Amino acid sequence: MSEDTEAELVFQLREGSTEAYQQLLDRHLASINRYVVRMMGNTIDSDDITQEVFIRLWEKSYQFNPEVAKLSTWLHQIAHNMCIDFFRKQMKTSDSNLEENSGGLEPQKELLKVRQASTINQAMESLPERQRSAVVMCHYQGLSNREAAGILDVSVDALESLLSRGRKRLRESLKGDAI
Amino acid sequence: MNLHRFSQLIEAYGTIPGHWPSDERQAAIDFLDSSEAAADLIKTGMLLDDQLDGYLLPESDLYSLKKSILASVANKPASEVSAPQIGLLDRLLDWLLPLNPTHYWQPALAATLPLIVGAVLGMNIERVSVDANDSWEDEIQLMSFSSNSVESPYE
Repeated sequence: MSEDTEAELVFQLREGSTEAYQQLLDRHLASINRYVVRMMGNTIDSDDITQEVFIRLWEKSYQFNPEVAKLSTWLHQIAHNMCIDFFRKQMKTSDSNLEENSGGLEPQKELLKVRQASTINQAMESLPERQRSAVVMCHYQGLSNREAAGILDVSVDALESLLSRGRKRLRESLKGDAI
Repeated sequence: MNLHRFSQLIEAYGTIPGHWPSDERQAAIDFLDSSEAAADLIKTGMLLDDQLDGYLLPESDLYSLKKSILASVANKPASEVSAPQIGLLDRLLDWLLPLNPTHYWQPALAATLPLIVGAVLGMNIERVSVDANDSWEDEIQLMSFSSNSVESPYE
């Protein structure tokens, strides 16, 4: 789907078109949900936040300016702000919800994967929020440095600093836990 | 591109070229092809990328999530979908200072507005002060006709 088509869909959405909304949902739901899950570390809170992001798209699509940013960037920005709000409201304890991934694996492999995933999950959760956001956006979400910097409202140099510090911290946390 | 900058790129963005900034990517790839030190940095840095890629992500049931979202917005009244009415002043400001100006005379006009307002005020103040002088002249003229101001030759 080209960006022009996406802009047209947003225009139709502003007119109240549920078909346009569904198309945008199909395009962005998985990506935004992955971002939120990586930020939150579980699916329960993440589904609530993802839902809020897309309700915001329905209600406030007029705030999106296709000439300024891609829709994907705008949605990531909303998701990021909601995650930060959530963290501020409650300092959540680590709960990786790994039982959701346990189906169909042999016991030994399952144990190894669970342990590795748990370690990485804990290492990610131990990062300060902005460092975690930067790493998730640039490593997992495939956003460009400018897009990620825009979402975090920092310069590209500041983003690089966040990324460097985040990765350094992850490296230290995961030392001796090579896969 | 030099080793110092290449090292910074690896530290920040990791070892996957697709993650490097687009404006430096080709230069970094060329540098990597020609530098053993850069290749060593990649080998060292790959460990963390491998670990990060091994992260098992808890998966949401996207089908249910989508259904839930669609059900939520179905209950939202249509009025919330449209943009809110904006005031005259906001519209004037949006016109003078658009987010993406296509006509550059608009911001220029906005910039000269204080000058225009100042000029208009200045002209009015001058007019007021001229009026004040006129009234003083009138007053002096009136005083000259008063009995106290003229000495009688018989006193």
